[in-house]
Parts: sequence; C-alpha cells; structure tokens
Amino acid sequence: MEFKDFSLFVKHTKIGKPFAEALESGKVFGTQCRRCGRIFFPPRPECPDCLEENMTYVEIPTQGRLLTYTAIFVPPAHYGVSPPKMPFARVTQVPCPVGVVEVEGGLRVTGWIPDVDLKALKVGDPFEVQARTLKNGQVTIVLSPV
Amino acid sequence: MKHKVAIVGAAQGKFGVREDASHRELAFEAVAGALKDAGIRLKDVDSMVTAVAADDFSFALQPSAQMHDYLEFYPKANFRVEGACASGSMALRVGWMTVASGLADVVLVLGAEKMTEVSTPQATEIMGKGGDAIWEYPFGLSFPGYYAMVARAHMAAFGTTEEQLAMVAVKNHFYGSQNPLAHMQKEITLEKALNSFMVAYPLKLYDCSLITDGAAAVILTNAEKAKDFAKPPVWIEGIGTATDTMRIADREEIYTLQATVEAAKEAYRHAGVGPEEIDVATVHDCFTIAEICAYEDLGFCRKGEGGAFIADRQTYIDGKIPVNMDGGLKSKGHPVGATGVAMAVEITKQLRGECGPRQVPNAEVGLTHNVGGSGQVVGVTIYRKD
Repeated sequence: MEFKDFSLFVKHTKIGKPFAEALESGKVFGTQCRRCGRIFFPPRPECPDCLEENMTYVEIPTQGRLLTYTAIFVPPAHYGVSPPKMPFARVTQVPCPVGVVEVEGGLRVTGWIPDVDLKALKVGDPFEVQARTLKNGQVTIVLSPV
Repeated sequence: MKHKVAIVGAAQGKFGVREDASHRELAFEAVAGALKDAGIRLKDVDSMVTAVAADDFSFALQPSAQMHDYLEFYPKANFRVEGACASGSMALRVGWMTVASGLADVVLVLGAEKMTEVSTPQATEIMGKGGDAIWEYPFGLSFPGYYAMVARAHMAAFGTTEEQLAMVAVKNHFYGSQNPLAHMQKEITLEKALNSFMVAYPLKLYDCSLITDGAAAVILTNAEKAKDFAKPPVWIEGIGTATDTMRIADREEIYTLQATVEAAKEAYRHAGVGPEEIDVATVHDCFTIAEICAYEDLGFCRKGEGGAFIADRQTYIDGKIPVNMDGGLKSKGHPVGATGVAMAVEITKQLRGECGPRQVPNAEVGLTHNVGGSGQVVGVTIYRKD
C-alpha cells in the first residue's frame, strides 16, 4: 500500500509496512521482544534491553482512559492551512482534537479524537484506540470515547 | 574537576524581530558586548562554543562557522552544540567543561538564533518537529500543542486554572516592560491574556513565548585568572543536565518535567545548596504552564501548587523567589539557541547588581533553568556572587 504524508510517518522505518498494513486491517500493532517479553508501543524492531532485533508483532490492548488532550488552532505549515494574516489574525478553522490514551497494561497511544466536541472531553474518560483508514486511503490512529 | 569556573563577561543583544540584522551580525553584537564587559579583546579568548538550535531557521548548514568567520576567531577552536531550546545551556556546559578541565583558560560561549526569516506557520512546523517526528508530529501537533497536553494534565490533576496560567504572562510582561533588551516591552492585563485567541487548547496567544531573533554571550575563565577582568566574577557553583522521553505520552506524570527534577537535583547537589537558598531565578517559560511546572519541579513549591504560587505573587520581586525578572521567554523573547546563554547573562547581571528597576536586592545565589524541546533535555545551573 501507498503511504501519504499526513497520516503516520512510518514509511522509512523497519516496522512501517507491517504496522500500516495492520492498521488497514483494523489492528493496532506493537512489538514484543521474543527474548525478554517486553512489549513496545510505538512498535520498534529492536529491544534496547537485549540489543537484539528479534521481535514479534502483537495487537496491543485498545481499552483505556484519556490521559490528556489538546486541539491545535494554529497549525504547522505542513498541515496545508494558508498563513494567517499577520499580526495575529484569528484562525477560523475548527481543528480535530488530539490526545493520549493509556491502555490496559500501561502503553500510551497518541491519536486523533474525531467527531467529539472539544468541550465534551474530560481527562480520565474511558476511551478506545482504533485503527482507521481515511477516505483518501491513508491510515491513522483514532481515539474514541467508550 | 581541576578548576572552578567563573563568568567574567556577559551581554545580550536586543531581542526582537530583527529584520535589520543577519544571524552573524546579531552574534557579533552579543560577543562584542561580552568582551567589552570583561574588558578584553577576542585575541584574549582561547576557545569558543556556539549554540544554534535549528538550521531550518538560519538556512545554513554550519551556522557556528559563520560566527567564527565573522568574528575572525580562526584558527582557534569553535563548534556548535545543539540541545533544541536548551542549546544555550548545553553550550554553557561544554564551555564550563573546557575551563574546568584545564583545556583552555578563557572560553567564549555564544548563543544565537534568527527565527523570523520564516513565516509563523513555517516556524510552527519547525518547532512542531521538536516533538517526536514519527509518533507525535503526524497528529498535527505543534510545539504549543505538546505543552497544551502538559497543561491539560496539570489542570485535571491539581485544579490549575486558565487564570493562573495567564497570571504568569501578566508577571513576565510586567518585568519585560522594564527590560530595554526585551522583545515585547509592554504590560498586559489578565483580561487581555484570557481573551486572546486560542493557539492550542487550553493555551492562548498570551500563554506562548515569542518567535524572536537574538543573541547572547558569556566569557568563562578559571579561578587563577578570574581577578584579571573588568568586573568581579560570578561563580558557576553547580551544573546539572538530564534527559527524558521523546514522546510526552511516555512520561509517567505528563504534568511533571522529570528532566527538570533530575537536572535540578544534580545542580543543587553540585552547588551544595537547596531551592530555598536561591535568591533569583530564570526559568524556561516557553509557555505559561512551563513556568508553573518549573516552580514545582525545581522545588520552589510543592508539586501541584504552582498555580497557587503565582496567584499568591510568590515569584514577583518581593515574593518568596523572584522568577524571570528579565521578562522571561514570554516577554523578553525566545530565540531558541540564544535563550540559555541569555539566562546566564541575566543571572550574572542580577548577582552583580546591574539590573536597575528589576534588580532583586542583595541577590547572592542565582539559578537558570533551560528546557530543550518538550522536556527532552534540561540544563539547570547555579551561580554565586563573588
């Protein structure tokens, strides 16, 4: 599959292809060291404890709670929004919230929080991590209230 | 270490949108100022260290070479040190090591950044990649976004309010208005800060530091030479550096900058002092929440009480510990590579009693706290009056 710029920048990594293909099939992969059993998210191909590249892909737990969140009203140029008129013109777009969910077992997952009003979010809310394929074929991670 | 290290020259150039000057011209202003302050010429300097955070701002692969070329410092040693927004403190650490080890007697530490030649959205992108470029930035995160997540976690854990965040901005603008070298010399009201537009929820325009051009420089030397300069030395008593995870998400407590806690522990131990002995401090207020975390993580108040600490005006000039009497990054400005060196300049001048209306009376022990990125590398330095 083809990676696009703005979903996850995993193309030039050792774990990119299996990770993105898993997302496309609805799964969120971490990696697990075959030697010591440690589980990693974000996934990585080598264990910093064992110094070995001996990993297996595992689905990470998806149920957890919201640790923190934000929404970016003044975005980086990368995200294709034309520069606001200076000095300090108000940016009128409505950004998608972004946050961090701690899933069972303690792994932390950063992702988009689409279709939820920023004001409705609360730290500590039960949340679920989901793989999502966007309309343009990009894959990404979203966080949804349970 | 073989030698005790002193600051014997210190200067900051004018911070601001410096369309009138190039990166190297800004550097020259600061270096000339520091040399004059020390009463020496560049030929008296043995070695040099340069802090520049990002090539992306200066459109140059080796900005430090531009600096030593423009100063005509060659053929003596100069190279660049990088630690994102803590580059200046990392250069100070390298300069300190150079003197302390006996490798050189007189060392120039320079920090310079020219950030405004790119647009604000471009600067937002460059700084945004100061987070994890694979696992954070792709979610549209900006630099304010990282600290916004710290703020949201802090507010949820301790009841810290947006008003308390804004109080940090009001204080720093108040002192910045008294600093002729500050980028923005104007006072603001709490209402103005609270009603400014949202940058990254819950951080608003006045919660954010400035995108600034500027440079600062200090001259370091050892105890044997320290009396040979124009002004009394300010001693570097303790120096601490620590690191933390790239992703905000990976931190056990998202509302604690653990690298600050660790670097401070090292610096306090090294200096043989505790937080209660600090008379004046500059802390890394890249965002208002960052200053509140700094109060706590440096031990100026207990964890979770930073909001109340500013609400009680404990970091004003007559409070328990005056913080950012130069206006901080918030009002003085934040030319990232220069910031750590500019902090050392401010504390040197505070301990010499040269700060005019914003002078902390009888200040003897000072502290600088400089954070790289969203807490990935932190430098804490403790200084003592001669």
